[in-house]
Amino acid sequence: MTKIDLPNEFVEFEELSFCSNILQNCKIPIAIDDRPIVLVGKGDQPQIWLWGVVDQKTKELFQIVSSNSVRIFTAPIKVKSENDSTCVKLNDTIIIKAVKLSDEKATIEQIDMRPLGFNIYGNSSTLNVGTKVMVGNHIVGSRAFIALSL
Amino acid sequence: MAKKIQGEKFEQPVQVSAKDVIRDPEISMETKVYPVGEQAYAILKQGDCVDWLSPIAFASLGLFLTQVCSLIAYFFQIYIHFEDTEEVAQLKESQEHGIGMTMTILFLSLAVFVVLLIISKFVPTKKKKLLKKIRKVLDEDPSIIASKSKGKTSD
Repeated sequence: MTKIDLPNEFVEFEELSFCSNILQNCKIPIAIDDRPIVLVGKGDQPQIWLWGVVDQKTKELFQIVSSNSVRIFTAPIKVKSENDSTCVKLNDTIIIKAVKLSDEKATIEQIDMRPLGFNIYGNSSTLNVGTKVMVGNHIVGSRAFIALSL
Repeated sequence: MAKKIQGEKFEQPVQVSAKDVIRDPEISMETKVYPVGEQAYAILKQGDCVDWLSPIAFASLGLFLTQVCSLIAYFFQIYIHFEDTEEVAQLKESQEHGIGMTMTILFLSLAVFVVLLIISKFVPTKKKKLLKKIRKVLDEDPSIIASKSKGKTSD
C-alpha cells in the first residue's frame, strides 16, 4: 500500500468534477511522488489545499494554501470564499476555482498551477497536464487521478 | 505534441512524467517559500512605522517631564523660596511669560505623546497585519514551524 500525506481536516467529496473529468471516491486530483499538490475537500465552501514547487531542480514542495488559509505571506495570494465557491488567486491569475454543487459533489471549474511551478491548467472543458490533455474521463475508487512520477 | 485522453474509465491513477510537468514557478524569488517561522523572523526584521514613532514618543515624553520639572522649579522659586517683597513681585511678573511658555510646551508634548501612543496601539501597520496572520496560522497548527507540509498518513 502506498502512503499518502493528507491533512487531518480534509474530507473528500464523493464526486468531484475536475475540468470535465469525473473523480468518484478519489481523494487526490493530482499527486506527485504520492503527495497531493492540490486537494478540494468538504466544507461550507469548498476547502482548498495547494502546494507549489520551490524549483525545478529540487522538486521540493511547499504548502501555499491550507484549508482556505494562505500559508505564504510574502506572495500576493488571496483566497476568496463566497456562497458555494472558493477561488485562489495570485494577483489577477486564478490558480483554482472550486464550486460546491451539493454536500457530495463539487467541481473544479478552473485551474492554473503554472505560477506555482506545475505545467497544469484547465477549464470546465479540458485539463492539460504536461503533454497530456484529459477530457471527459472517469476515475473510480483510485487514491489519485493524476500521479506525477519522479 | 499533446496526447489527448478522452472519455476513458480508470481505476488506477493516470501516470504522467513529472519532468513534463514540473517547471520553475512564476513566483519571484522574493515571494518564494519561507517556512512560517522564517517569515516571522524576516518580517520582524523589517522596519515599521511604529519603529520610528517610538523615538518621537519617547522624546515628547522626555520633553513633557522636563516641562513638569521646570514648572515645579518656577513655583518653588516664586512661592516657596522667596519672601513676599517687591522684588519677588517683579520676578513673578517677569516669569509669568515663562510659565505660559512652559505650560504650552508641556501640553503640546503631552498631546504628541498621547497621539503617538494611540497610533502605535491602534493603527494597523503592515507588520501588525502580517504578524496577526502568522499568529492565526500558528494557533491553528503550531507544528508548521517544524515542517512545510504536515498531514496524516493513511494507507
